[in-house]
Amino acid sequence: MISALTRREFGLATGASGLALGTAALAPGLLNAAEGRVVVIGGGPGGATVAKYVAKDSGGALAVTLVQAEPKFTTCFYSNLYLGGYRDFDSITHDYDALREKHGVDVVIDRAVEVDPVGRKVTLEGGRTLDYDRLVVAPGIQILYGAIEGYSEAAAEIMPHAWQAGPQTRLLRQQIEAMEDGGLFVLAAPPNPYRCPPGPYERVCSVAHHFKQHNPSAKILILDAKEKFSKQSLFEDAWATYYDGMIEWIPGDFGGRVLAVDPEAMTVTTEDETYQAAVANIVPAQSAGAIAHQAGLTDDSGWCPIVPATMQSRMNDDIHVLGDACIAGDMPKSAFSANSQAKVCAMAIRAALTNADAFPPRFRNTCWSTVAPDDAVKVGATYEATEEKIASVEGFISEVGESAEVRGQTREEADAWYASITEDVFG
Amino acid sequence: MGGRRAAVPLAPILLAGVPALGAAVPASAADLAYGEYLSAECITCHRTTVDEGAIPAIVGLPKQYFVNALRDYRAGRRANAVMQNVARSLDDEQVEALAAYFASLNDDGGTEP
Repeated sequence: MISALTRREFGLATGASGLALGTAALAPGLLNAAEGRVVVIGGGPGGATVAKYVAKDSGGALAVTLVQAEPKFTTCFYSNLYLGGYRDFDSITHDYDALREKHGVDVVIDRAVEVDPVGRKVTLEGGRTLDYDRLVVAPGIQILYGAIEGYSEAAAEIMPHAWQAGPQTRLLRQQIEAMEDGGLFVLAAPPNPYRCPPGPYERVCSVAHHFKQHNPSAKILILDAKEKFSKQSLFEDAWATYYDGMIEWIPGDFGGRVLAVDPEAMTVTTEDETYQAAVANIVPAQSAGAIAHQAGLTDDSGWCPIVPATMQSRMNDDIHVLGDACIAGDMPKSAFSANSQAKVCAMAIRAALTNADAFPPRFRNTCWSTVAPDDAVKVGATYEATEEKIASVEGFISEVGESAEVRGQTREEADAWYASITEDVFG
Repeated sequence: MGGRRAAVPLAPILLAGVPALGAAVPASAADLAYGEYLSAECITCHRTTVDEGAIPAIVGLPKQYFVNALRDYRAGRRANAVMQNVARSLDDEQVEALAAYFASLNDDGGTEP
């Protein structure tokens, strides 16, 4: 009855990790100490996935601790649909109950403040210290407030970035709903590289969808640091089709780059002009989350170089870096990418600490963007690990002029994907 | 620096353990293990617990149906850009391993008794 073999039994039957796994079944507590400790910093789509897969697939042989600042996680992906009124906030917010109860992950609600890569310890804000054999750093991004004059954490309470989901997202939604009739919504779009390349332009579609129903004389101005952007022809086609006359985009080479903001006056200044905004959504340049810098994992770019086949830091073999914080070559910074990288990373960690099989790494990404209630577009690719980087193998992108049926299916596919990936990450 | 086996390269590994497959040959434990590994990529989009929405459940599909579907996507006979892209990234052996793995699962994502 070969089909009846579970993975654990397979390990026993073939001798691969058989002793360790068999013993784990009898005395997990003892074995946790003997086999290895894995600490994961950050409970987003990268960190939560790697914690779950290491715990689940090591059959109790590895002790996994996930350090996550908040007890619940609101996904930045799909937060644009909340902003547009398509989804409620609860539907994009997830807890860690399944990671704890189904998979045995020790979820610690605290902040990692220091990594000691020599002593292999993580110190938490609450005072605890966690020893590790392997550390996964998946902190996402930090906002570089200093990149725009006048912008700061305090300014973001008036001019939200909403590029880390949570209270910022709620604040921006409140401002969109309360915006004066005919007001100007300004979105300052960041320079590359940043989290979710199509995100600013999908956000504009969502905000325009809200205004079309509730504030039809409102205007949206995108002030961009870049000259071009992801899925550009698809977004521009959607803006003309659904929100004609509402949206204007000023690229970086035509004076779009935002140099300064004044939250009190609600002004946004480029090299050419100062704009009076009713709502200002300021998304500055970004870098890897702060703990990655403290741990010495970043290079001059502010992001973390990694070994593609294992997601190990190029700065330290005991540390892996996942998701938005890492330099993932041709892969965009997305939840899908982070989830994909996490599975490669989990396999590498189990292979290193428990003799589990290591198969060749596989990477893929797909990003869906909702442009109207029954219309979404997508872009995706498969990738491979080369010595130098995670390299694109083959990709695809939606086309301008696709049928309403295809776009409607893509829109439904996006919702089905959201349900699946959040179950894969948090379930 | 370095964990216990950090120096061991990961790339050139273990496929030697996976025999060539034919549809008539029963799935071996190695096939299922390989299929389980590959399946992690599928379940980012395909839910394992319920079949709802625009992305169908693939858990428990008959093996030959699964193989034919992937071949059709690869050849462009079935439409969906994501699945065509996925199918072109899988060779015949990988499709067989995936088909064997998903066929071995019950609807609830558990392993058949």
